Amino acid sequence: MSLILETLVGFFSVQVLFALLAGVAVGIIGGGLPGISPSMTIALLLPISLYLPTTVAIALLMGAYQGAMFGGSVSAILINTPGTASAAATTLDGYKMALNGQAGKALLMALYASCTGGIIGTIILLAMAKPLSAVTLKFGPPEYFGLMLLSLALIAGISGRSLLKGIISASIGLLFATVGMDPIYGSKRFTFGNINLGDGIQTLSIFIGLFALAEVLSQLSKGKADLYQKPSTLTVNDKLSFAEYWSQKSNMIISGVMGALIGVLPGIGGSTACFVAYAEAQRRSKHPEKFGTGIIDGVAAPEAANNAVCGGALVPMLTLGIPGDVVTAILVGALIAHGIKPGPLLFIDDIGSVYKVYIALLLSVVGLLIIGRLGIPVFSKIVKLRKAVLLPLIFIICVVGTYSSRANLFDTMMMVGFGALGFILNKNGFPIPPMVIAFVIGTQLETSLRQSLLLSGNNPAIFFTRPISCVLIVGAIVFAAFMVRRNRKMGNKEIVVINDAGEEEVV
Amino acid sequence: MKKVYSDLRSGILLFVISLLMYFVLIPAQISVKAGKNLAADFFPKLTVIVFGLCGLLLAVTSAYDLYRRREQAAKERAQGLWKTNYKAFLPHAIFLVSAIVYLMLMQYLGFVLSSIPFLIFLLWHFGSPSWGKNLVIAAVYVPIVYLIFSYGFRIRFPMGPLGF
Repeated sequence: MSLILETLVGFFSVQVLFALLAGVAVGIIGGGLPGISPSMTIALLLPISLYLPTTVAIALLMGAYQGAMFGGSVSAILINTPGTASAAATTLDGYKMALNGQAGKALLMALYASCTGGIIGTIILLAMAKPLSAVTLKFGPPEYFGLMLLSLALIAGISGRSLLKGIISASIGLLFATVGMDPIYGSKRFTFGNINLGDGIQTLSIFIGLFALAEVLSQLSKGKADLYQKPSTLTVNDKLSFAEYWSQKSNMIISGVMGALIGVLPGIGGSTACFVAYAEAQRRSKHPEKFGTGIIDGVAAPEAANNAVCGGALVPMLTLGIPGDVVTAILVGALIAHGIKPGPLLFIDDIGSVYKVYIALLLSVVGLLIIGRLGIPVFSKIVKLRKAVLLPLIFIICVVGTYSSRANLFDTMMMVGFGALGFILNKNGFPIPPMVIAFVIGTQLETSLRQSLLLSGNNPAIFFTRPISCVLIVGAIVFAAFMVRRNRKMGNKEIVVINDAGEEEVV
Repeated sequence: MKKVYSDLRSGILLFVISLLMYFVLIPAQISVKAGKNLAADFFPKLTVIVFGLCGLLLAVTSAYDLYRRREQAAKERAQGLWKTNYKAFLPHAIFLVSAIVYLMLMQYLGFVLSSIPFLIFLLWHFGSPSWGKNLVIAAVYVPIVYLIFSYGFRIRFPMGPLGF
């Protein structure tokens, strides 16, 4: 108890609170700008966080995480374009409310629902993390291997339309993870005689390249005219009453719990949670026909769910060291850089760091309330920024951010290379999340595989003679079979895509 | 059908890359002492096998799909619908080449002197038409970024002839 209080007191310093609020503000702006994803926002903050004390860094990143999840609703409501995939369901009723002259009400409902969902997500994290960490203490190398294999299968299968492309993407990530030193024998691998690759590929180069720069390149495909266009937004002068907010309490609680539990599952994030919550809210509603016409229920449900995902996604990250989504994959990198190794031993060796994450997540909800409430009129103006100006500015930050970790231009060159790779892979339908998550867990996956085989004398039966490991690996195979069946069914349907020239094409 | 053809090309390319990696790159880049159990090349080779097999499977399934719908495929090919519009990627190529040149020049000119002209060019390239406005944006933004990162976070940027 004294450690909790001590950690809490550590958060009440000017530097930490400033970082928290700044993180929330940057997160809202990043999440609010279409084309700038939460993962891109967090990736760009990552190099800054490396120079900050641990508590300050955690406050900054957690604030940005919560802020970005809410931020997507700003553009979803004002310009009918979700700033993040997690806000896609918010457009359905949010924009309609804006057209009906209720933009301010919709934004405030989104904000308060996000805060409520954020609290619920934190409660789920507090309830699940410690018990799960106790179970995972019994995990040995075979169990870890099985769990990571299941995570990769889930992420590879869900990230795109093709499990095969997801697996290819994941294997590319695993190959990148092998660059540097072999974790068992210490031999050099794929360094090409370059001293800069001796420690492996710089994490920032991959994150910023694949998320930020690849997105900048994708946006360039839209053409100069489109990028220079200024989106028109609506005014935000109307208010939300306490009675209107309170009328949504059961909607927000149920959606929040659903969002948090969905967030716990690796590979399934805010975009799934928001639609599941929206559909469930419509099903429970006494007036389901009103959904889609501009009602606050349709804003409260997805927003509560997508912010609750933050807490849920931190459960596998903290207890197992396995990121639940791409944002937590970046957070894993940040924590490791600060000497905090996520996993079950974290709850024994460094419980103080766990409390820091809990408290940061809780305080970030408060920060979100403050910054969101004050900043809505400002954020609604920022959403109007032309991409033709914004994207080049972001690229300079990408260069500076990547350079800053080792003061090495080689890392920035790698970032450009990964940006190009990410763009090419995206264009050909290969999803990026499996690659990033495979890169993050690659060394651990390899180590657990080789340790298991060394323990068993090269006998792969070890993975099937231990019950937990067997269940996890069979689960991965069953899931893969399910995804193949799903893809076969979907393969018979025509899909309309936009080709390189910007024209619609049926495939 | 164009997407299926693209998958076929991707699958073949990935399979060829996996063969090159397995037989050329891995032996060249990973030295393995004789007698070592589960040596340093074990996991890369395993991953490349998975990668190659998936690439081959992608190529085979795409080829089969094209064969099944060969009449439609032939028609679309005759109409030239499968041609990739490489001109559409010219802006991206210009951006990437200019970014590489910018980074190479940064070590000689320093961060500020290289970033301001590059940002002016980039703003124009992304569609901001006014050179004057771009100059103002670059002249304000780059020094601010430099000051924040060099004094706030103690980052040592490449020094140019002017010392910054």
